[in-house]
Amino acid sequence: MRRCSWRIFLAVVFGCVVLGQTSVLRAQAVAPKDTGVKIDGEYGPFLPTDISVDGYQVDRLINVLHVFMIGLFVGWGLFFAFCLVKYRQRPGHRANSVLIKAKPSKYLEIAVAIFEAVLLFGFSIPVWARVKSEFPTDDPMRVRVVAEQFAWNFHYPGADKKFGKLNPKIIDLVKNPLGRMDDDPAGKDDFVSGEFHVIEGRSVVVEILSKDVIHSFFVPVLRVKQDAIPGMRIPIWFKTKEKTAGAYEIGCAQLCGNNHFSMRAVMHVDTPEQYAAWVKKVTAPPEEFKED
Amino acid sequence: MQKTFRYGVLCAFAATLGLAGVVRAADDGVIKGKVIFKGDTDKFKRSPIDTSKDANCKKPIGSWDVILNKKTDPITIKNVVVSIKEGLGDKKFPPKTEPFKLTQKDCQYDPHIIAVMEDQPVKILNGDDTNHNIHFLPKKNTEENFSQPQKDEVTGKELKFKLEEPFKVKCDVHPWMGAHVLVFTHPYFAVTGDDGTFELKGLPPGKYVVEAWHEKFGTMKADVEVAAGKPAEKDFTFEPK
Repeated sequence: MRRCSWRIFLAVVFGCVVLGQTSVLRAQAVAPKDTGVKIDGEYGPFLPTDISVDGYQVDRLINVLHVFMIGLFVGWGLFFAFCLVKYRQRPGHRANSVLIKAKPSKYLEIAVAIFEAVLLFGFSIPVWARVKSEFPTDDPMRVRVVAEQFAWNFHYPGADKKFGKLNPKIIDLVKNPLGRMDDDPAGKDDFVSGEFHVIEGRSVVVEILSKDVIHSFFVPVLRVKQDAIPGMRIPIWFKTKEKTAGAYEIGCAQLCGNNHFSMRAVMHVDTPEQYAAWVKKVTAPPEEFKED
Repeated sequence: MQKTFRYGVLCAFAATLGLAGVVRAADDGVIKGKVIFKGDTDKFKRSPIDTSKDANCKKPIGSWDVILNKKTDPITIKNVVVSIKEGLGDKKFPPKTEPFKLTQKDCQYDPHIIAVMEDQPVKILNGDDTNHNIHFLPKKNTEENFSQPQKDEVTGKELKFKLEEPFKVKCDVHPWMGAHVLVFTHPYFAVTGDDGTFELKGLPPGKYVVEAWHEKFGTMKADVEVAAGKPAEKDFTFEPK
């Protein structure tokens, strides 16, 4: 009977690991198809490719946390197993469920709390503070990201680097999805696309907005994730490494409705020449559409 | 006695045939015509639609709110719904049983106008290798909102609209996708095609009020008298400013 319980316990643990792993792999396997273009970078059971100059800090934090959690899991697991065996009910013994009151366990708990405090104040808060307060001053690109059910809009300020005003009352889902005002001089050279293009090796400041519900702008290869909240403009920034040109996946990381799963977009990291060519193409005056 | 009975049956048969002929002849009325555009065509050019939000939507598509046929003289308008507004009395018509087929292809609706009878089944197909979400936005009928993530997926449930009204349908995944649904209590409606013409067939002779509806230019009404055996002709002219 006892042996049977152990087997069930191990089978459940093994099953959870296998299920978790296969679902991650399956999610990664279907991701590139859904975006409609070939996605660059390595996606697998571990952290994806990192193309951000600051991404290593997030990775380090994640790795430290995982090592710590694995240590905790194994330690507590062994202790749990030890207790199950030592204090079990057996012929001549009743199961002992009295709590241990010993100094080593108390010190261990204090040590864990101190370690968590170090993680929070020593690692997390400095990274967070840098990301949220020290915005780049090296002539960054500026882009507005406007989320909506279930798509992303990328609003570029054009050559004057000033965004034009937006008026939700004049939104036209076909011709003016963000409600750009024609009479605003700052918005004359603005343009909007469904693709996100940035230049490799250059800082980018992104202002995140939402047209309807809460979304979350998530670019795994940049280690960037920020909620888009209706009524708020939330700035974040990142900088891609040199020689990282390619196409990468953008997802929505906040359940936002029945088509949340298909709210994807593509971030194109371009060379300066590729970016200039794309801007030229997007800003070319539209010709009358003629059916084939 | 037997002879009399035979004559009776024959007479009844002949009378039935004759009556059927009269009814058939009576319901052969036709109203046909075209919907004409007068004005500055440069104001109503079709513009290309930015489909860059989904890289699966590869084929270039254009705006569909106003589609003019500039090859005809006079210029005609596509996607105008012409229907009988008044003159049918309290007659009840059985719904069409043939399903209306709506296809999502190249990230646009085909056809752009969904004109159906009350209780007529509507079947929706996803012809694209991407997810679509059909969202009907009626005021009187029941709202419908469901996704079709797989290519070649057809609606499983029977979709029917029970009350007469015009309303919009949109795709929640591709914000530019839109179409219009018009539900009628009778079968006398038609949508102008590429050549801007329409034809309402099978009408009993009588006086009717005919309406032409366009999503951008609004509605227009006209009185038309239908006589048996002779098609009535009526053109509508929209002159948008």
